[in-house]
Amino acid sequence: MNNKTIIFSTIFFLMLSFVFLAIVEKKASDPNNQNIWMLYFENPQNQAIDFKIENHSSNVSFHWQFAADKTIIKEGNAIVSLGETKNIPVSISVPELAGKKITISVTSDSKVKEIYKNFP
Amino acid sequence: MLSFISSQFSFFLTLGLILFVPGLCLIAATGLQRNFSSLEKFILSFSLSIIVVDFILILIGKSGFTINHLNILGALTIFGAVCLGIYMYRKNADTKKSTEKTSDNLPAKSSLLVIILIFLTIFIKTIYLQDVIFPTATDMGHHMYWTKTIATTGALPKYEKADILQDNTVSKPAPIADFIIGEHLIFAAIAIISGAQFISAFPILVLFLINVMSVLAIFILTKELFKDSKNVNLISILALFLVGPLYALASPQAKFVSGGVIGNTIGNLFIPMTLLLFLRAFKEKKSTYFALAVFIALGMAYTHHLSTFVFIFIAFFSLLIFGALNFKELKTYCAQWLKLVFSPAVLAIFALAIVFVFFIYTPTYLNSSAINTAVGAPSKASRAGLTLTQLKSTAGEARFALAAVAIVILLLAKKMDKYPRAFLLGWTISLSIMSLRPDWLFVDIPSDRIASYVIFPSAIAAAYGFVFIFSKIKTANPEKNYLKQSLLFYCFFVLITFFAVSGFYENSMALNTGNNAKEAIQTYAASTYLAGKLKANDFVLKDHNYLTGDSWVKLFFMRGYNFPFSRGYFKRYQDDTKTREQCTNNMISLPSSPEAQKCFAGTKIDFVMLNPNNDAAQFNRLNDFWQVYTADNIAVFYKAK
Repeated sequence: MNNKTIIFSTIFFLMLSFVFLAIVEKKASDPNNQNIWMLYFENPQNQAIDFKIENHSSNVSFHWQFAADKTIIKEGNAIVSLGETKNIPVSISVPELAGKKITISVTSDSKVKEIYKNFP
Repeated sequence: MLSFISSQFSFFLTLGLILFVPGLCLIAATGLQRNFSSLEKFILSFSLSIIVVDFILILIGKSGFTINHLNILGALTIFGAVCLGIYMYRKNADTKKSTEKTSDNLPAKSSLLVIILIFLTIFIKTIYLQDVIFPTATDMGHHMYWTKTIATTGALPKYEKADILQDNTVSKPAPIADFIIGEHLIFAAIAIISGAQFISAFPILVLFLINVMSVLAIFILTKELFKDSKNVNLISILALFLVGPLYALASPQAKFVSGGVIGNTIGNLFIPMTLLLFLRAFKEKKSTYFALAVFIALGMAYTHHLSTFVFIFIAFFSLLIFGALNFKELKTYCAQWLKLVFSPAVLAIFALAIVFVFFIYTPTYLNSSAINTAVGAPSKASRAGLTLTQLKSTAGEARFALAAVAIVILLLAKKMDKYPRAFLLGWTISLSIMSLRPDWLFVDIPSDRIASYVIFPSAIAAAYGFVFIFSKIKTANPEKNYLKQSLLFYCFFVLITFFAVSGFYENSMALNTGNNAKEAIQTYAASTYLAGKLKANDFVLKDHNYLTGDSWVKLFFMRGYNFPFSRGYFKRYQDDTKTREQCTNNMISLPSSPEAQKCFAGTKIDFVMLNPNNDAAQFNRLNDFWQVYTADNIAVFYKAK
């Protein structure tokens, strides 16, 4: 047996390992495999309060509440399927909210996430 | 699925093209292709390719051309054609002189054993890497920022960063000596040619390949060191066993791969390859080997300063020990060495080195402040040297014990070939002193970093010591030998088991219980969100303590090495030796404090990325901060204007 057998075996083992690791990484890098969801404002810097729910979890039902200080002004349900991002527009006149803390709370599978803006 | 297959195909093709072809061409041009076995050529071509590609990319960048797909392939084609031309010319000129081809053969059982050991090495490392293959490591994130800079700008990177000054403002970017171009060019070339994504498995896979090559380099170097021994195959296979499947995960092996310790990993390949070529040059008195060794040493200097520094000490100690052991014939040897050095091939490489260092690209660490931080009396406790127990733990207990015995045997082994003996002693002793008593050599570098280099010579020495002891007992006169052959056989296996248990135990200690991809994906998703919303006058701060994969965040912005600024480990803010900026800590830990408010005003930071489970409370109480993004492990706050 010569060195070439060792070389070709090494290349073969490495290729197998690399393909396996690449598949593992590809699976891990897919957020849809991680059971997570995110909540964020469409525009973080101005007073717009439209928000988005980005869902990478198996739960597709979301309940949202829009509150000014601690008073609930609006609420609703949203169905966001796996891998989907849903924009939820909130049409409220900004002057009405002056000086208040505007909070968006979203609940899914008993987990609550909040984002907020403090209006001047 | 089809895109995955095509990306894999493209990646493998690129690895072949970038990491083997240039080196093979260079070996052909030197006329040494018949002097190396296939395995030596395989590993040498890989090592040389890294350096050739580095220098070609530096030349492209410095000549004003863009470092892109077309120019890299064009330059490599020209390089290949020149090498081929030299090869053809040599072939025609040397028709009368036919060198005997170096034997490729290993006994079938030995080959099979080598293949099994390589399989085990790759298998164990793969098992470990599957949990960390999704990129999150801090060092790798830093390195990939510079690599992406090369790939996206098409130019060599300017290693500089902006810092927060004492008056709470941001400085203009200033040069940094922490990074070396050779750590990034090879990754940039592979990314550009293959189109691989930076946040993917590709950086770790390339580093894994380099690590496996360094293990094989130890195997071929051991073969070279003990070429004249009748037990050469046994010693080299045992060295492969000690450095391959055993202790396969601890630093500087798979842990350095997953951690993105690029310079060290490449250095661990270049050091044995340089020693192999120097050994051949001295033993066979052939200047071409010497020239190739100097070429790899030059490549090492463009890749990793610590490895180069360590190599200088190894070379110095090897020569010192050789001189001490062969004092009477030293004059003759010096004449031979001078003849090697003052040969056209070696002088040409020295000239290339001078031109590159002084006129084309000076490595960033070649400035007085960087040199002063590495040389001198140890400045911190972590640089004052390890205890013997710490060194034993780094080198691996069983490996260390036998290596210590082997050093004594080597010192007394007068019959052994002079050069291998001096090289192995010089390599092991220099690293041991640098790790245990750095003050003796005026070395001011973290001792554990130096100690990580000890494992390779220890493995070789341990393998030699093991085989030496058993071969001595076995070949002793049976009448005088009070040990039965069967008892000897059992002792052999007991000792091998001791090695295996020690090595595999270390492997098991290093295995992860899970991965942190879930947390890192959230960090990257928030970074993608923020990158899409940021304007030129927005600045970001993120936390390094509780966010996963945070060093990769800058790859989403590509607005500077320190963009976003980072709250580092808390201990870094307490330094009695110098004043550290406190802004990055205050702005997250105490955002309402007057100090933090001054920092926000001075740095213009208006977005903060942090882990809501640890740091959201102090922001939730403040009216001028809005929480604009949230996930389980990351939140983004905006400082309203």
